[in-house]
Amino acid sequence: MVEQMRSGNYQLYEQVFLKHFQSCVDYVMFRCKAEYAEAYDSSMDAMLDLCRRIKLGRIQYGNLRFLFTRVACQYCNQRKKESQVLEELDGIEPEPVRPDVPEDLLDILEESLERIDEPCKSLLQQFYFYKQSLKELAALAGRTEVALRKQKQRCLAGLRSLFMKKYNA
Amino acid sequence: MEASEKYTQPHLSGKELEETSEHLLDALHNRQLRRRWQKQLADDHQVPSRKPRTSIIRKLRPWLAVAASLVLILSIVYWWPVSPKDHNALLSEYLSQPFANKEGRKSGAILDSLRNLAIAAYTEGDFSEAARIRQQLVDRDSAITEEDVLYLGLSYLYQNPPRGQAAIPHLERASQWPLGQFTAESRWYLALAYLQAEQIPAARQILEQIAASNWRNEEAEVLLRQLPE
Repeated sequence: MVEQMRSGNYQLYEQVFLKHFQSCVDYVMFRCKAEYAEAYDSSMDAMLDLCRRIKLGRIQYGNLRFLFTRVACQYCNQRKKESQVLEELDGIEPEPVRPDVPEDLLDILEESLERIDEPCKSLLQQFYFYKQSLKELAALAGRTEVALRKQKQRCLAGLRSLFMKKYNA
Repeated sequence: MEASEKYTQPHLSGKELEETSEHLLDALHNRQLRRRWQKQLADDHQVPSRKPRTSIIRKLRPWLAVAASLVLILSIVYWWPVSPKDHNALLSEYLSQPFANKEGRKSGAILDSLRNLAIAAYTEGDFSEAARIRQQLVDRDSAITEEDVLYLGLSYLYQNPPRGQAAIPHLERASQWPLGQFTAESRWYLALAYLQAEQIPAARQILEQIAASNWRNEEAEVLLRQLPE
C-alpha cells in the first residue's frame, strides 16, 4: 500500500479507510461527545493525517482501524481546544495545527500547477504530494540528487511566478 | 506572518520559497483529497458530510412532538405493570439464536477438513464439539482466520451452560482483528461474554460504545439500563 500511495495511487488506502469512516464518526461522537459534523471533520482530518504519515513511512502496518479512531478523537479534542493527548496514541505525536490557507489562494495555486510544464508538475507532485524523497526520485530518473534539487527550486520559482501573475491580475 | 501571506509577498528568499511552497502545496493536496473522499463517501458509502435537515421535517416538527408525546404516554401505560427483564434474562434472550455461520457460503472458499467439521458441529448446535475442533485449528497457529477466533469464542458462549470466561480471550482477539470484517459482531458478543462472566464494568464499557454506534445500539441501551450499579 505504501508504495502505491507514494506513486499517487490511493485506491487501496481509500478502500480500507472509507469503509470504516462511518464507524469512526460514530466512535468520535460517542467518545468525544461530538456533534456529527465535528466528528465527520475530525475523521477526515485523521484520514489525511494517516495518509501523510504512511507515505512518510512513519506508520508501519498494525491495527489501522484502531489508530484511525484514536487519531480522529485527537483531532476532535484539538478542535474543541482540549489539549490532552490520548493515552492510546503513545508514540504518535499529534501534528501541530497549521493555519488554514484561504480557498481563493488554493484555487490560484491549483490553476498555476495545472499550467506549469509537465516535468515540473510531476516533480512537485511526487515530492510534495506523494512524499518521495529527492534521493528516490534521482535514482528513478538516473540523475543526481543535486541536479534534482536545483530543478525543484526552479520549478517552485516558476510555479510562484505563474501564481503571482494571476494573483496580481 | 502566515505562510500563505508570506507567499504573496513580492520578495522571498530561497528558504522562504521552499517553506511556504511546502505549506501551500500540502494544503492544496489535502483539499483535493478531502473533496474526492467526501464525494466517494457520499456517493458510494452514503456518509454525508453534514446531516441534512429537510424542510419537511421542520414543518412536521410540532406534529412529531405531539406524536412522540402520545407514544411516550401510551408506552408508560402499557409497560407500567410489567417489571423489566434483568440483564441475565436479556442475556439468555440474546444468546437464544446462535449467530449464523457463513464461512461455507463464501464464494470460492477453500475450507480444510478440520474447519468443515467445526462448521458442521456449530451448525448442528453441538457447541462443545465445535469449540474442541476450532480450538485445534487455533492452536495450529498458522493461517488462522478472524472467523476461527470469532466462532471459537461463540462456540464457548453458546454452550449449555454458557462458558463466557472461556469465550472472552477469543472474542477479544476477534474484536481487535486488524481490519476485521466482524469487529462489530465480535464486540457485541464480547460484551455478552463479559456479562455472562459477571465482569460488569468491562461489559458496560463495550456496551456504551455499541450504544453510540449504529448496530445493536438499541439492545445495548436496554442492557445498559438493566446493569447493576
